[in-house]
Amino acid sequence: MENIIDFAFVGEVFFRLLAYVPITLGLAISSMVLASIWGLLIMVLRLRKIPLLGRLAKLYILVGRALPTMVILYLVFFALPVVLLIFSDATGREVTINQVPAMVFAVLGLSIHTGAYLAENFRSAVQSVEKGQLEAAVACGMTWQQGFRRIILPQAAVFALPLLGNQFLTLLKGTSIAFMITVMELFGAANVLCSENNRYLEVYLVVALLYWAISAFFEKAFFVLEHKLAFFKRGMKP
Amino acid sequence: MGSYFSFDYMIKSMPILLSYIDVTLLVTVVAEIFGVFLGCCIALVRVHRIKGLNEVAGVYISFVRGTPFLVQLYLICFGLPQLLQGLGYTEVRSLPGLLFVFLVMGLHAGAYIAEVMRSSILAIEAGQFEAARSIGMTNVQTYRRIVLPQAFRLAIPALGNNVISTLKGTSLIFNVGVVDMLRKADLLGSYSYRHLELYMDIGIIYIVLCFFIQIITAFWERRVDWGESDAA
Amino acid sequence: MITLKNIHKAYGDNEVLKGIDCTIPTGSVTVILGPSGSGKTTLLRSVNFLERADAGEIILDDLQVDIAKATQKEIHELRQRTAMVFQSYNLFKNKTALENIAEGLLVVKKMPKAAAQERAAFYLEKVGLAEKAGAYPQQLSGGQQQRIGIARALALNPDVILFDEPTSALDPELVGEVLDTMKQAAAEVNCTMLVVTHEIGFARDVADHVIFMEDGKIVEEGTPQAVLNTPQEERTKQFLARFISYTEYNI
Repeated sequence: MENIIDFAFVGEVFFRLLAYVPITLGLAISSMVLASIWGLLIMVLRLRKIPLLGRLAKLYILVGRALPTMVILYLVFFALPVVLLIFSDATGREVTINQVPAMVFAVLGLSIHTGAYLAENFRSAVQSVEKGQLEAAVACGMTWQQGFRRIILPQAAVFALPLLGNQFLTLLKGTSIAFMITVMELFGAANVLCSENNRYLEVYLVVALLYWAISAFFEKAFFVLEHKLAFFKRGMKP
Repeated sequence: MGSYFSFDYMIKSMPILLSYIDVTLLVTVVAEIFGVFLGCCIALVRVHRIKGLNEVAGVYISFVRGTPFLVQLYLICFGLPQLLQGLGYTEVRSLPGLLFVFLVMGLHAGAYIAEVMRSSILAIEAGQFEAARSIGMTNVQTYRRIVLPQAFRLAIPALGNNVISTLKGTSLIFNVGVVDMLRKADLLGSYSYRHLELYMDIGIIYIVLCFFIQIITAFWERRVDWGESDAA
Repeated sequence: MITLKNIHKAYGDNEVLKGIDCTIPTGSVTVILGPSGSGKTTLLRSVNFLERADAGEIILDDLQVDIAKATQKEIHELRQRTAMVFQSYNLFKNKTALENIAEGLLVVKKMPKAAAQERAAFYLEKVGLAEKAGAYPQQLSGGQQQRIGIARALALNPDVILFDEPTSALDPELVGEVLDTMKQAAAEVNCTMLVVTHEIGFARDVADHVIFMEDGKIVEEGTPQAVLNTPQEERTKQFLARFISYTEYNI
């Protein structure tokens, strides 16, 4: 078995790759935070049917979900420099693209992609809240904003949590694509190790196991969180 | 703005990129068919909790869903040949890379489809099974004639989503040597430096393909209606 | 005093309100009766714009609203002066009983927290559910939820309380406690109560004014004695004939 799998090498790979796990987590968490804020905004635009922006929001949701992650990352990676060049031409101010680290592109691209999914998830969570709740709020004299913020959002948050959890797990896996736009995260580091040592099997097995472990951890964490927050769903009449 | 972005170039490269779309479609179709067969078998194993196989299936599904597709792709396309060579199959080099791609994409789709089919089989009322059994149908007959058709119908939206997901997965296979529109875009871009235009073309192609898949899914859903939408 | 002038509402081809004109005296308890599909719920919900009628006028004391041209500000003003009790109670699920009553006071009347809680506790006590202050709606029976709904409306001290079939979703044995609460409210509070209901007994015992609607129009209106005991219109007689054997309201 030794000439198939070099176990000593496996150990070495594991410890060298472990250092890159925080980068993956950092990418995922920052993208998730950005995407959540963005997704919430987009959802509200669609929900309130604001004239032009609402339509744009719908288009964004369609496109953001139809495009593969890799294509979105590439688009951001190549579009941003062009936008900045046009900007510096138009305003005469020099903004060099070299100053922007690749990770910014990755987070931006991942946020745009995830935000589209989250907007839909939030929408379905909000629509799972009974219509009567908002009616009661406005009948009391609250504005839509007050009713939404105080009554609908807290209830929708509980419905949204499983969806958010799923999306985060998908995002975690999506960070592996960032290596294609030169971000040195877990998978990128794995590829470097492969080419340095010309051994593929061990490296990819270890990296797969690392991702699997991270996924399993967060899956469990979300499960526990969902249980804790379901307290006010408890005791609901059938 | 002319030299920064060229619509002209976008339009000119579109036909070139489109000519490679057959690879994308082939991979998607083969992967889905493989995935559906595999997924159904696994779903049945899991629904009936067949000893031994059930646990293996559970681990397999957890692995596929817990690791990135990109990692699975590289693992099978680079790691597996290494493993096979180590085991003595030296002709591995002559196998076309596309075969490995079919394998990994089929395995990937299969895991997700297994979960979809499992939940739709479980959603079929017990009464359907009881009725079939009461008239003397065997298990196999029950599944083939009553349960699986209904399960498929329930699963159509989720299966449609899975097809779209598989389609999006094809955007990564150029990394393991497949010559498709993305590889072509990469090549063209390294000459012309007009990456943005090329990937916008690619984006448009994917959007249109997704759109078609959604139309087909909706059409399929209506065709297999069985009067459900007439019911109150 | 509420005046409704020429209210029209259609859903596509289906005309639900065909020109409603009526005046509801201040402080009265007015009951709207009618078969299902008569438009009575639509009419009630048009008053606080939960349904938006197509045409007509709503005049609430000094506030005059032309429905077709109503601005957000006018609608908001109308909603601040009215309160509603819903058929499905619609208590805020993420708030306790006490918080439900206090919510409107805090946010709409902008009362300080202590004052709002005190007032909420007072009304919770009034409807006899002081011990349930910390309970969530899901932990309470339908009758209890509806009584809290009534307390929520009362606490806001509105000019008008709109009741949308408040007992229709309740199990029969719980209907009585809610009707008693409404009766008590009518006696003690001097706001106008506009009630859509099937409970003829309530209309007979508590109402000052009864309106019978059918097919989108007001067929007959008057005092309970006039409409319920001596109906003039044929259609009113036919409707009441179904209830003629019901002389008590808690079955």
